[in-house]
Amino acid sequence: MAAAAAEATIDGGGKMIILISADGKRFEVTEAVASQSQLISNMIEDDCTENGVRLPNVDGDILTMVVDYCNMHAGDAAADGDTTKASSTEELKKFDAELVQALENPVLFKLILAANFLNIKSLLDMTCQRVADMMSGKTPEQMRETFSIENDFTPEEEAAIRQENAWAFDD
Amino acid sequence: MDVKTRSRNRKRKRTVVPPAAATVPDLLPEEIVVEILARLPVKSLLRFKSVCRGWRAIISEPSFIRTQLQCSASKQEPSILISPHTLLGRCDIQPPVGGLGDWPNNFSTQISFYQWQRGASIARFMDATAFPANEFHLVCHLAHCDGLVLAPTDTNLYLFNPATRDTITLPDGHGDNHHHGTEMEACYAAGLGLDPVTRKYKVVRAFYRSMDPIRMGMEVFTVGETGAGCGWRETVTDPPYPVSRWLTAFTVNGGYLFWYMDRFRYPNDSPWWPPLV
Repeated sequence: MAAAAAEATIDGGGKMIILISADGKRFEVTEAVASQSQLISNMIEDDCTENGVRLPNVDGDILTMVVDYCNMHAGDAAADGDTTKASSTEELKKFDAELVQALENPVLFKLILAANFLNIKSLLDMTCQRVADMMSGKTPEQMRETFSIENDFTPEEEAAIRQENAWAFDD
Repeated sequence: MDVKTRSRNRKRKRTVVPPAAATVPDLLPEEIVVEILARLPVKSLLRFKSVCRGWRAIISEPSFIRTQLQCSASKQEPSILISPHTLLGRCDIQPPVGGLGDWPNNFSTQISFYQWQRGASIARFMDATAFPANEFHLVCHLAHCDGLVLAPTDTNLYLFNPATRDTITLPDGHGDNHHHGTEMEACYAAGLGLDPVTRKYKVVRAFYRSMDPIRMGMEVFTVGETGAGCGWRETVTDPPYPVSRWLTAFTVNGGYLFWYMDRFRYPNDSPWWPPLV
């Protein structure tokens, strides 16, 4: 690893760092790209990315998505004024929508956890919004199923709570 | 939203690191559930209060409610809240003393709200509350803050949250006889605002201490407070000028309320006295 990190050279004005997923996959990215993660940005500041950044919470396939996302969004995060490198807003929107649209819940949830762990605010925002959009028209029963939640209300309590907000159950 | 503000200590912490084949609940720690729920509309949240105790606790928490408000305000198109004033029939209008225009006194006791969002073709019904007939006859100008609506009438102050369809009738204030002067002065002079320090909503009301000489006092009601010490509390100092009973106070960001001065009751009774304080 040390050798791999040492091989990483200065490219396009940005130093390269290596991200290592839970299952050992390695991703070489520029500091600018990786810095969208507040976690890694802090590590860069503290000078502890020399030997690669191990991410034991993030699987390789999830990290692939995260790296794709960060590469795509590096332009807008790097310099607000510099629009030469930044992808157009339209392009980004399309990319974001396509990234989350096809994902099944378990994968989407893993992506949320990765965004949370790596502290990438915009990705967390987008993925949480995606789950919320899928939830909004659903019933409490469907929610318990999706999130495997046990109903810990007594039947009387549940009836009372539903009664309080009866209108919210109308279509 | 700042990620830091969301992490708070809770009893029911769930595992953050999932095994590969984990089911969903083990996957999502509560701070993430909060993140997701905060992005839902109010109607879904009211429904999801009955999912489990944990979700009900999250959804009822004041800090969650604020986060949800910020989320929905930032992602939605701007909207207008509409409350049509409905009359029970034709009435003979007496010009009010203040010359503020004709104002009827046979309002319907049904108060309803509609929301129109920019770009929408129609306004969407939100809420309607039918109060008993004759509970009030006049509805004054409404006050608004963060989706809450204050309706001052000739008998009571009502506070609405059209999004949750909650309505409260505020308790009577300190000994004011609200039929001083003419009938057109019958509505409470009130205002609604958010206290930026305590993050609580407050209703403020001006009342007469005496008519000769004219002296007014102010009192404050904190919304959502229960137990001892709740209810109306008088301000330390009285307003320097009499406040117009007819006009609802304006709220401005930062917790300021602006009142209309009652130029007819100002000691230097001049019809052209500046009406706004």
